[in-house]
Amino acid sequence: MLRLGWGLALFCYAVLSIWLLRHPPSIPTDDAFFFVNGTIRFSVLEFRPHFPGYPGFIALSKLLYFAGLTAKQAVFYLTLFSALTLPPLSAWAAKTNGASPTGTLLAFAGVLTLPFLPLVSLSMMSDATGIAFFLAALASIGRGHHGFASAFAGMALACRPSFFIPIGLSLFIEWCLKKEARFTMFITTAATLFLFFGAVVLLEGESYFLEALRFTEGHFTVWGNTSFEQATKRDTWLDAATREPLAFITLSLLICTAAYALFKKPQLTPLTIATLSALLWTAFAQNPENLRHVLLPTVLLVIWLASLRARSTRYVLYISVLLQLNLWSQLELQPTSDSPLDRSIGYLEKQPNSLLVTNRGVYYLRDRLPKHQIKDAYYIDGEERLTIQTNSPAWKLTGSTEDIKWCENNYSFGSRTLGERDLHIQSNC
Amino acid sequence: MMRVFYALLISLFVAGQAHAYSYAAAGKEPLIDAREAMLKAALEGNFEAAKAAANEISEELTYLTQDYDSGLSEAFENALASQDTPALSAAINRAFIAEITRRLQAGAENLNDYQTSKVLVVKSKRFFDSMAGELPGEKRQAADEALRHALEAIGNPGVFGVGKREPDLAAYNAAVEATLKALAN
Repeated sequence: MLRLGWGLALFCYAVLSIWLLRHPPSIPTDDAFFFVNGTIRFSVLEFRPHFPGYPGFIALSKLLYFAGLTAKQAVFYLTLFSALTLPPLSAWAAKTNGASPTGTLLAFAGVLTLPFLPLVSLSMMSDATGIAFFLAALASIGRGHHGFASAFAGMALACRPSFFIPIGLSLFIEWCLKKEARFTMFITTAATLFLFFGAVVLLEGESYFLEALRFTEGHFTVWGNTSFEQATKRDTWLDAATREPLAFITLSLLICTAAYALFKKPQLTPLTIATLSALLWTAFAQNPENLRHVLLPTVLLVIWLASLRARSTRYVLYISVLLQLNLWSQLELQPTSDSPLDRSIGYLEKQPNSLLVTNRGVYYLRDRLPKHQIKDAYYIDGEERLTIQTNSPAWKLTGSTEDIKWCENNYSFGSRTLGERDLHIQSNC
Repeated sequence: MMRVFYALLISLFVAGQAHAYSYAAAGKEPLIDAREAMLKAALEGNFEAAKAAANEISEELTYLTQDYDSGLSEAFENALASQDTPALSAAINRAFIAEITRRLQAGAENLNDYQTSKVLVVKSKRFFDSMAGELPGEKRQAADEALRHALEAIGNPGVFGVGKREPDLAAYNAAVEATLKALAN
């Protein structure tokens, strides 16, 4: 039975891998554009990429770049292959943290079928690489290899510094529990972080610290769209849940099971703390507009539940895998295509050079559409009020159909995966 | 403490609507902050608020008027008095161009100090990015390219000497001139 399960899981893994690999490298957001620029020339002050610089991720994409790939291919395939390592790494992490053979299989299948795994795979962002190193760290902790665990945790932080709360807390718990490993853990983590972030400080000078202050403040008060932001207009996790209901139903199921399991049998392990802190950190400090942020807590939830060796959690994982597999029919049957942003650029390139007001991909659009005047809709609320008065042709690119419509002309570019935004172009008639 | 927690919890589910973001939008640059505040207020027809935002940068405007653009303060006063939003937008752009000029010229004076000159050029680029929406495509591309040349001209000390490039004052001045020409009307 177990063999049959692994056979089916590996078949699904091959299907997903082939489907993802058939996608052409295509930039979906400004953040991805910044990573591509950063691969060519690194400069945090110029947003190549933006703060904190993601030095681990850039170092890996630069390696691929020097190996002969273009910068876009390097970032795209690094992200994609990082995401494809997550199911096997999850199985490994579950196994080393006490999962039974069935639990190991469920961790593999549970992560493989996660609704936002394809989104992260094609995002050209550092999430998947950061999670992959974090899982390797958790697996190494499970095996008692603290040197490797700390080095992997350092790499995870160098790729995805925003994971510092779950990574830091899980390392801290292990540090408290294993007195004999404290020295190794401290030295290895510090050395890895010093290597990467020391290089960044060396390149950027003291202005890196000023940018750190500016960027952190901006994340929590201006653009980060977090719970700490005082602005009234912002997407919430409830909006996110209504956008992808089935994905959030399975997530809720996993959260409820985890809460029940924790209540029934409280335990203090690095994996438990990592899962709980990732859930809370994502809920409060991450942007609900970008559903890729959900991947870390869901991956950790699946691994943790799979490692519990309880029959009830096993059934819940079976159900969630089956529910999640239902979503695949929406994906794999679709033909592969460029990102909605790239397709909208393809459309706009053929239109007369004119004014474009956008709240998506401002920097990338300015780079790709050199003849268009491109206004950032963020800067001026109601910029369209100025724009709409002009007689020249004008376009508006938006991620929401709820925005005020200029007229009935509306061209839509559908998402490639669950959680990716459809983009809409409207003209001023 | 519990109140803060509940407030945060509620804030997770308060309905809202998405808007765009730009990493250059956060503070620490009074002119960029004031630009947003002034234009937002003017578009809402609230010129008192626009005036208050302009007062926040009165020191900067006085300095830029004295040294870089003699009619700048007057342009702001006229636009605010006549409640003319396009004129206010044009005055803000003039202030930004004066600020870009100030920083790029300071870059030439600090060409032997890589970190300082780099910050001056990169910050100029942030001001340019903020006003880039006001520029037609050709002008935007020309200024963008010229700023890239300015950044190349400041050289690079490399890491422990590896990849070292000496600064080139002539190339830098040419790039600054090209930037200001592209931004000029």
